[in-house]
Amino acid sequence: MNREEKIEKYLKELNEKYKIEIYKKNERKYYLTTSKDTAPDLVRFIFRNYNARLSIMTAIDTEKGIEIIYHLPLDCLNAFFNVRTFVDKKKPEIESVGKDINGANWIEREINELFGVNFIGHPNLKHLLLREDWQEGLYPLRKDFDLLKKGKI
Amino acid sequence: MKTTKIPIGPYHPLLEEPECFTLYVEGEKVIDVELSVGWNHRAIEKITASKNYDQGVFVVERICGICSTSHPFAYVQAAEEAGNVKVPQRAHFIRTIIGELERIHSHLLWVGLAGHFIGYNTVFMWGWKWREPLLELLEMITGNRNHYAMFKVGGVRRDIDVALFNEMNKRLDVIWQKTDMITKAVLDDPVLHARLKGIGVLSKEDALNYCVVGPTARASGVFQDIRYCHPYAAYNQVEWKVIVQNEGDVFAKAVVRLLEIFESIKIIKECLKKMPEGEIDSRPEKMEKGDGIGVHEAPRGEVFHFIRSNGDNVPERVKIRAPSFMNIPSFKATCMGEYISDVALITAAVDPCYCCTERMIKVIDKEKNNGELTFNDLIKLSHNKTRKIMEETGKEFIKLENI
Amino acid sequence: MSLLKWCFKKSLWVFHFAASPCNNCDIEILDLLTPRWDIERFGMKLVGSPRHADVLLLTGSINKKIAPKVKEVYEQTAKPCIVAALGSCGCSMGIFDTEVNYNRAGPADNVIPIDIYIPGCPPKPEAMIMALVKAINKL
Repeated sequence: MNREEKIEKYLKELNEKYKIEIYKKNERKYYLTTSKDTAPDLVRFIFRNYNARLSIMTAIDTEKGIEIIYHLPLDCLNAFFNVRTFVDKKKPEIESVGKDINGANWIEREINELFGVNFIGHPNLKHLLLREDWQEGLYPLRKDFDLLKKGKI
Repeated sequence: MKTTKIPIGPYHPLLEEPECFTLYVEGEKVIDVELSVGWNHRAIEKITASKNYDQGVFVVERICGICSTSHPFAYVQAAEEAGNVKVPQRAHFIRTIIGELERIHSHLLWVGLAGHFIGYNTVFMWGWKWREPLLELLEMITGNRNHYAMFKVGGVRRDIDVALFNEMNKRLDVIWQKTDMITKAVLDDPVLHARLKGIGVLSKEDALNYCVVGPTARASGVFQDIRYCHPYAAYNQVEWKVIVQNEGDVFAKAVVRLLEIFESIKIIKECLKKMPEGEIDSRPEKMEKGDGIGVHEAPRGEVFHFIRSNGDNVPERVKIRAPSFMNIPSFKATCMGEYISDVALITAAVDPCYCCTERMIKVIDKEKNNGELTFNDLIKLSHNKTRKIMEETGKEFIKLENI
Repeated sequence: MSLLKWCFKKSLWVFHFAASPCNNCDIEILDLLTPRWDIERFGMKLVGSPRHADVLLLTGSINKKIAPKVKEVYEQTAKPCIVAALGSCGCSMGIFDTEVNYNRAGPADNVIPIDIYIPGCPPKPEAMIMALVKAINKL
């Protein structure tokens, strides 16, 4: 089975197992959008069954909420499966993958302190980069940070 | 048994970067590691999202001085994918050459530092001495010894004059010779074998679980090299090998890095032969909307950049992840059960670049709660261990002749 | 000449500390020790503790987390000492000097008093040696 057939097979399998929307950006980059309840499961499935690696998670402050993208490269197939999901800005929380994948520990800590997303089940969610006494509720990479910070730090 | 907690840091004179880790030890053995980073956090993601694409390359270059070209390499690839920008072939070859020159200088730097940690200061001096012709070469090509400013979205900023090709080949031959000598000396020396083999082992399972990248992963038997697995620039147009070792200890990491220097020299020479004529810059005028991912195999591992473009001149979001961010947490797996005198070496074997990680060592004695060692003390412990091994085996320092 | 000036004439011991650097300046400082420039022939060397230092070499644009540590190290250094800020980041925060940088606490002279400024990104080793020579001549 060559590379394209394998990728097709994997995408078909994922489509049957989970409710996802597949967007093919180009030959190597696939974006799989799903709900925040399925995303951690989907990530764990791809990590364990397709020999994928967790490269990083990106968080973006958008109008639809805080978008979290899990970037999973499949090194043997020259492809990236990027799992996208949105969490609500008013109560941003999602299940942690850091408890199963050790590499995700620091990544989730960073998103937690810069965006305020709570990762449920994370073993050690404390500050990674910012000072311990950084003001609560002030998340530097959120869009409203510049307005809120005036006079506070 | 009594446990000791030793705080080290956040300053240690040799690794030049502030970092703070806390080692919990029982007697001489480490039982737990706590890492504290963030001493280098400079809000770079926010700064790049406020500068346009041309300015962003300069900011991103200054994330790290050693892997100075790795970040722009990934950044421009991400921007080109997001904005659908084409790049001429000649620019791909020039990018490859600069990337590989940087890899050679970074690995030689590491060899020098590792030599210092073990106590072989001569290796430090010679490794760094033979970086100088390389840095001079980079100055001839790009104008600066570090922070080359060669990359831009759509191509490269400067061409490599054909008159320099001869000079490049000559200097690369000299570096091949000297690296060959250092490699043979390292691979044959019994004191180094006793000092480095079996220390700080990262098993393949742990390497996959911690998602480590670069030579740290390849030394543990994981076949992972972005230049091969997700080819870009001119890497799939030249012949070269991926170096993988299976033991996962410090010795394996050293071997991977030394052998990679030879592969890099091969790549550069082939690129010089196959360099096509043509433009070096496609002069893009507009960026399209979209997301882009750019990856590059830096000397330490995979550098990952993600850019979201909304059609504007300024990116909407830039996400940057340096390789050491994934490699440093693996200290928890490699330092456990090891002796304190080996810790300096194990942490250096991962070739951590804290300024990339954004990013302090404490060793704690649970009972006394007052032990304090600086990193310099850890290095002294490491030197003492080497001296002891030399006395036991009856061997002297390795002989590096005519270097 | 006074005893102080005589002490600083030669063989300066340098304590190098990096506060949020990009590491380039630090690599160039270590380059000074290597055979090409070899400042050890002047008796200058890097020491492991601020208490032994004549010169404090500060690199990097200081961030909020490390600023208190910088002050601590300065207080621990035996006075009198010369404090040098190396690189564009040390002199003026360089490229990180924007409103948008939420973690800024620099430049270096906001935190501790500086005597010598050595600009460059990174300053070449020759520039560093010239700066130290100029500084010694001025004393």
